Amino acid sequence: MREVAIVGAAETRFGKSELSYRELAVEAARGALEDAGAEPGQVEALFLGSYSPGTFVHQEHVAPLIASELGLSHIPSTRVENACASGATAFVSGMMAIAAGLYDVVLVVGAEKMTSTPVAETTRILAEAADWENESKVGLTFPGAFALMARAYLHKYGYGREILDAVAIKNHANALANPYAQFHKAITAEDIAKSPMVADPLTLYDCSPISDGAAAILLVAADAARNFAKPAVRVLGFGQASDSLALFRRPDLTTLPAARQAAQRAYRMAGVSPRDISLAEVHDCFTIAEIIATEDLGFFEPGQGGEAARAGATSRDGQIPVNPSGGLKAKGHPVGATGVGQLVEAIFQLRGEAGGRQIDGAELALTHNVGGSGATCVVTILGRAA
Amino acid sequence: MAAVQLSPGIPGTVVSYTVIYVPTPEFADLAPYALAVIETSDGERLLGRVEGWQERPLAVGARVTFERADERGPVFRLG
Repeated sequence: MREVAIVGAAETRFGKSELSYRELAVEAARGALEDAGAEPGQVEALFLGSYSPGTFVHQEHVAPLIASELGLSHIPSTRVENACASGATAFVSGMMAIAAGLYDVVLVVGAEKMTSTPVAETTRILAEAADWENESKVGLTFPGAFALMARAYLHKYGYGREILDAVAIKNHANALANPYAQFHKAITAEDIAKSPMVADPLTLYDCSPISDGAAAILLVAADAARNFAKPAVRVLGFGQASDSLALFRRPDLTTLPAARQAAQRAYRMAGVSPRDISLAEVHDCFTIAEIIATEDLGFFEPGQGGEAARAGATSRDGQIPVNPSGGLKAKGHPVGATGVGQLVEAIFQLRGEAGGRQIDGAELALTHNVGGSGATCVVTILGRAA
Repeated sequence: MAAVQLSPGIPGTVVSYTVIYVPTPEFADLAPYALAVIETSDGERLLGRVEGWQERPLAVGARVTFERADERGPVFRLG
């Protein structure tokens, strides 16, 4: 298998945007090419992660649309859909194509345009990523699925909701230093207590927002990386795993088995362990998801993630900085873009370009992108340029 | 996996639960409503609506009884 490196990264600001779906995707893609000092003509294939543009903006068949908008005439272009893990799965597709020796230069884009759709309709579109016959049709929403996990976790380990508050407060604070973040607003436990209930025990401030946005990275064969402008970030390992769409089919609601599998595969491929990781961008679609992620990734023992969040072990100056970007919670969650956006943040951190949110001396960065309530998980480990 | 066929009156236990306040358009008339992961006395696990949560405390470990299935799925009653 050939080694793969990343030489370009860019993202739009996440949030409510005036730009259309295609304009967002093109802005991010051109940004990644410019960052790498690459010309569109060098790109040999495009993989585009997008969850549901057909229902959000009445546009399917988006990969050739974006390829042609970018002037990438006649290259193979493919859309990848794995719910909220569409972005990281598109990255995996691009990585495998280079590792297999098919291409030397691949553009990976993630994009979603969600804010032009009414909230109730968006709630249903997202619920279609759950098991429709057994969950969504019965009335389960995505906040509801994660509320079931939160209730199970709080009950099993005897925590109150202050551990959830700690995640929301930290991630909003981190996003203050991120110019790409949807929210630049510090919040307090009082704000959370006053916010409306979405799915008990999760309130509005436990939920990631509805967002527009796009992100892009340029992948190359590692031996070609020196031909580009930026220092190459190395792809050291990745793992992907799947599980039942239906949450209730899993024996334990306080862990995502697919995340544990994906993490083990990524650590094994990279030859590193959780304690080697400098920072992690994890899929905090809801506050409880970040706590469970820090356990599934091996940073903390089962049941200890809540205490770690409360004690500040996951803050920017803590034992393992988690979501220095602000995470899905405060950076925003344009679903198809999210997994690529996590990689973009990891790349900025490893190149020392993260400004006021920089983790000093970052050597290894991990990303964790989840689809549905854990039916897809992709974990990636990136390393600083040698 | 086919949907679980339940007989009315079969008991179950709440594994976890939530109350949905922001529903999809199809459930707007019901909100807020309680949903729970339930383990029946036969050892089947499923997701169902739970009625009676406004009168009695809904909790992990609470006992429920299967009442009926409607077009929106299985319905249990607390107690």
